[in-house]
Amino acid sequence: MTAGRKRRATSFCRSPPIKPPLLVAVRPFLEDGRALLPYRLVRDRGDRHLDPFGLGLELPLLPVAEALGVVGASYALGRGAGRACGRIRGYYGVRRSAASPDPAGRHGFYRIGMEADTAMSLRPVLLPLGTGAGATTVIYGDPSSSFAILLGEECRLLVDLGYGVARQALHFLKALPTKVYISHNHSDHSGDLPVAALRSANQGQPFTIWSAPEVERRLKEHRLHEFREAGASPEDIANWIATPENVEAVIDNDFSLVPHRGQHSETCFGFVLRFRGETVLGYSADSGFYEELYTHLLEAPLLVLDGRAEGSTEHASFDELEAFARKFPDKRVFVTHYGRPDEAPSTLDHLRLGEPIEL
Amino acid sequence: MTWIARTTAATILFLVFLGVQEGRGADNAQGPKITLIPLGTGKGATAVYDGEPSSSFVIKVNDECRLWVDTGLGVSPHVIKTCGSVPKNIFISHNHSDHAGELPVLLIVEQTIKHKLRVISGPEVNERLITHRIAELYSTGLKANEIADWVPAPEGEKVKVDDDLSLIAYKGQHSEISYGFVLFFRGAPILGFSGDSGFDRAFYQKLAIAPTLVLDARKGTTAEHAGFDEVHAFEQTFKGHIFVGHYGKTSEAPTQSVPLMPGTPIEIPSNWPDCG
Repeated sequence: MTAGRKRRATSFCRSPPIKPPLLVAVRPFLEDGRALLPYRLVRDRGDRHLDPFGLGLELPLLPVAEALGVVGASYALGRGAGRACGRIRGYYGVRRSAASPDPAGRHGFYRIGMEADTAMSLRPVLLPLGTGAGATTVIYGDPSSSFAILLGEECRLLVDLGYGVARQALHFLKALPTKVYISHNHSDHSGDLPVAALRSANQGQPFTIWSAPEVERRLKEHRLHEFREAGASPEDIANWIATPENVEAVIDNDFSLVPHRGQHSETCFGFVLRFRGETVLGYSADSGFYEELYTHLLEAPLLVLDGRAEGSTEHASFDELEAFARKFPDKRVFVTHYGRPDEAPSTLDHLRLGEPIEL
Repeated sequence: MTWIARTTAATILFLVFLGVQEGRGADNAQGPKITLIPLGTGKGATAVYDGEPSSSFVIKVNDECRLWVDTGLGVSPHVIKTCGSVPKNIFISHNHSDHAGELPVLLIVEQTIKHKLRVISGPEVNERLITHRIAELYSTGLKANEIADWVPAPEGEKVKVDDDLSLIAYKGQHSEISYGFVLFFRGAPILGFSGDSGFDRAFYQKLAIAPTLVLDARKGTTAEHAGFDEVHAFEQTFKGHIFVGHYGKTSEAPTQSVPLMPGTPIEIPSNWPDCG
């Protein structure tokens, strides 16, 4: 145990890096579920990033950990409403890691590896990339509303790509995702799309874009018109998958979504997201308070809803969402699209830039 | 008491009058100061990938922002910082996101506060902006002419910007139809701007009636954008001042020519340097 205390916990640099630095607590556990150690804090050391999802976390394991029967680790990351926690099984013993010397100059760190099939036990994570309202980026420079759906290290879906979002994706994910859902053709939801899609296509990694047929038509006809004269049609730039309302659309082997129409001046679709058949998220996209949409979204245990201080037919109000959340105490309701961080609701859970939420 | 009050009031009015006259005299002596303030120099993907603002500048007459040139991605917070508000007159060179990306939100935000903007652009550009760029705003129920005043600027025709400024648009060499312009102050050409354009001597000559030029150029030469070397060679034949814009991040600025630098004002003379 003494040796373990000397070998302080460190972090292992793997993508996706999560900023701002989060507190991550880890606790190895045994086959029977008993914890081996109290939670230990693992901190970002500035030039290195955490892998908060458990893949490759370095723990201050004792050389005898394997003999003690460590089979996995519990973890907790983030703070407040954005806190996520869970358990990951499948660590295989310990091995000496020459590649990660002790930052303080000491040696003897041990990395806990993870078996390939451990990914099966991972939970999806929602990583907010912005909460901006319509004019937030244009006037203040904060990113528009968007989030990424992650599984382990991998971004499986980027939801909306409005003004200022590509930069956030690059910052938090180190690469621009190529699987994108677009809720509607407003600049705060698709303003970065033309430039990002064109560059990605030119780099041999064309986007796959899921959107409702009406939205897809508008994106192709108007949003991407700017490249037509140069000879690049929307079909040249990206793969398009029209996702009709109420019809399940497959994203990949793990995820699918079902679009549902919101109440918004511009035709707009939220969705419920399914992970291996289990509904994990209901997202309103842009919508006024609209029970028909919310009824669909309530299929999920966690809802992300458009809301702002002053409501309208276009966007629900904080008061409306607060009353709604009280009505369904078994659901976790998060507000987004409220604008700048200082415009967030004080009495409602809300998405915060860069703070992941486990689904 | 009444007499004293009247005398005091008259004295104050006289002093105020003197102050106003003195201020006018100073202004007249200096003449109007025309300044170009670069807001960004980003190329196509700079704002999206690197976070630096797209190419754009404003023209100030004395302390007033009179014309904003291009409203691409990432530019608007800088114009608000520079001008305090959104200038009424906007010139859009062409319908690419790095030149017009923020236009829809600007127009609707300003329209909502009863500050209807005036958008000047080449006729084809005007049509594309109305049909495609601001398509997202029509679901509000507003029509194009309720959202903004649209001013087509046919090539070679002088178009009024305000009481002092006017411009003549000229088409550049670019994949998307793009216009530059010559800007006039009280009838005298003061600035030539290329918009996006590959090197085109005939086009440059049209702009070169003004003593100051702002030209699109970057390190590599393409048909879409002139190269630094091409502009530098042209510079040897031009008696006025040339500034290079649209080169990308500030770290990509040319060394052989003078680059625009965001936030660094350039005073624009109305006279040629060699004719006083």
